[in-house]
Amino acid sequence: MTKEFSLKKKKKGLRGSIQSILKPSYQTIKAVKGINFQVKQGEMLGFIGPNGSGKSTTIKMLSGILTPSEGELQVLGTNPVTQRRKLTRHIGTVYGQKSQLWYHIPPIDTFYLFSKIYEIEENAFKKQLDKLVELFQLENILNVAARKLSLGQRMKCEIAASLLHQPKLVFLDEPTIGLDIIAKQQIREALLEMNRSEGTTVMLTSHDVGDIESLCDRVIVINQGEMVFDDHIDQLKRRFIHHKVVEIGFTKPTVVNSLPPDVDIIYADQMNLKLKVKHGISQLMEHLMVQYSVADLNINEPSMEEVIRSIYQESSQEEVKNA
Amino acid sequence: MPNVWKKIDKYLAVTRVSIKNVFAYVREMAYRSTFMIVILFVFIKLWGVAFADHQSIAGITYEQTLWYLVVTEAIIMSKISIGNVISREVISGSLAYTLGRPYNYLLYHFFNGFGESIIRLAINVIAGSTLVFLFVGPPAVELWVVFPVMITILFAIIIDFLITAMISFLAFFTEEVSGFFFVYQKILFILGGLLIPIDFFPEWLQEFSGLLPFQLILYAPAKLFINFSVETFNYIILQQFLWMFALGVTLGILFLLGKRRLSVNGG
Repeated sequence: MTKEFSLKKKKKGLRGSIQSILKPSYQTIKAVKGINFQVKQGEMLGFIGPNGSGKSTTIKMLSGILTPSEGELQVLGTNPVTQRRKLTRHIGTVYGQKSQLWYHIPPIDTFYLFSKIYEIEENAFKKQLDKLVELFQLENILNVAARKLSLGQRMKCEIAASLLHQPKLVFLDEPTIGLDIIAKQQIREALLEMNRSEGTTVMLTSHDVGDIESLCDRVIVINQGEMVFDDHIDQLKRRFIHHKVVEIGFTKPTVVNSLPPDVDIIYADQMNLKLKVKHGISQLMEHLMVQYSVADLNINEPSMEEVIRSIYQESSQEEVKNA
Repeated sequence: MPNVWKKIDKYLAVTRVSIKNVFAYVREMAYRSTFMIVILFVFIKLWGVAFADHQSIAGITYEQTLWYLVVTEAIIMSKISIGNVISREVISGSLAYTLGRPYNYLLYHFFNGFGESIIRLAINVIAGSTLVFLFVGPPAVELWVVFPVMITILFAIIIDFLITAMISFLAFFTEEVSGFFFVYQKILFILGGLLIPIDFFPEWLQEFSGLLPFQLILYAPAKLFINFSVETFNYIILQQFLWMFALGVTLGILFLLGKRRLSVNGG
């Protein structure tokens, strides 16, 4: 699946502006370049990538908002482009940066409106509403005007609103953006519960690695419009982590002068040493224990954030090489 | 049948919620109607000078002119102000988000704007009528006339909505549409007969504006109010229907063409 945008290119300065009116020149940008994947029912899929990598574009194509320039796609057995209306009844969408609640009125009124828009039966709506209210802990904020809610409270309502019609598939585009840890945690738990009890398929984009780690089994990493990773989240570390970080504390001021190959010093002072080790940890241990008097030792894996950063950098460097 | 009812219910629910939303700032809206009072007051004085030596101009009396103004001003200040919303959605691409729901985009916006429109119309009619009543007394019409006039106002609001939406959708093709809105507003002022009843115009201009839909938005309902006849009513309704049909079809085509050009970057 590929999506091209045509962007109006503008030259610098006033002269360029005038030129662009008379003779606009267009530049084609490939936002998504031939990506290909399948999602199983009930799966929670993380969809990550740096800004401008094509995540949102992909989600917009999947929800029928944008038409792909090339390729085919099928969502819940329908073609989102030709059967968008039909599809909208079975998918839910939350865009973290775009509110769907009515500003001046309480969320309950928006919920009620949604029940009409999605043509939900009164009883089914009440049941689902009760469930969501409990799940997202909305009792106290249901009747407060949306403008008076905190960001976290509002986002909970946004997500609840998108689940009212019991969608089979939910697209969450940065649902936890700007939220504090507790709000994030509540939202994650509610989503997990929703997935467990109703088998809702979730496709999530986020810049928050914590979201991905706690929610998703499978991760797709997309960069510059290309898929650079698609596998189980554990594999992400295994595949992209080629080093461990070893931290050593010495009992007395020490100067380290000889180290085995493939070991880089990240940080060193008289009492502490921080090393990046590609392989041969045991060799290194032996070396250190024999040569120096070690008081404290810590072996860490790089954090998920570091992993992802390295993926982004790696693939953008390739991009430079290819170009 | 229940299916059709569900569809209607859907859009009525939009209007209900929009009215509820409006009530949160209904007081600000009432303040805004002071503008109507000021405008009307100025014209009560101005037309007072113009009518000083005349019983009537083009068959319309001073009192009728003022009641005419109440209707045109009330409509122009209450019409659905959705143009900026739609064109901004088109330009910023956030239209894409609204499209992801099971409703008709235009119907949704109409019924959404309609809620606010009703409230504003009520406030402005009350404010304007009170003022003009104090100066020249009640209009020389029977009370039931209000109902057919209301129907023409409803259609007037629809026609204006269709034109406004069309201008908004030009944003699919040009990058900025506020210029078009400006021109449309000025056309409404003159060819729509906002401040001066079209009857006061020279013959050729009257004929010209009669060929266009703008007079159906302001002039026609206002004139019908001060000079009601069933024939005029029927004629206005017929014209309004024809224009709603023509504009509706054009708008639909424009929307289809525009949607294909929709591109939404990033997010």
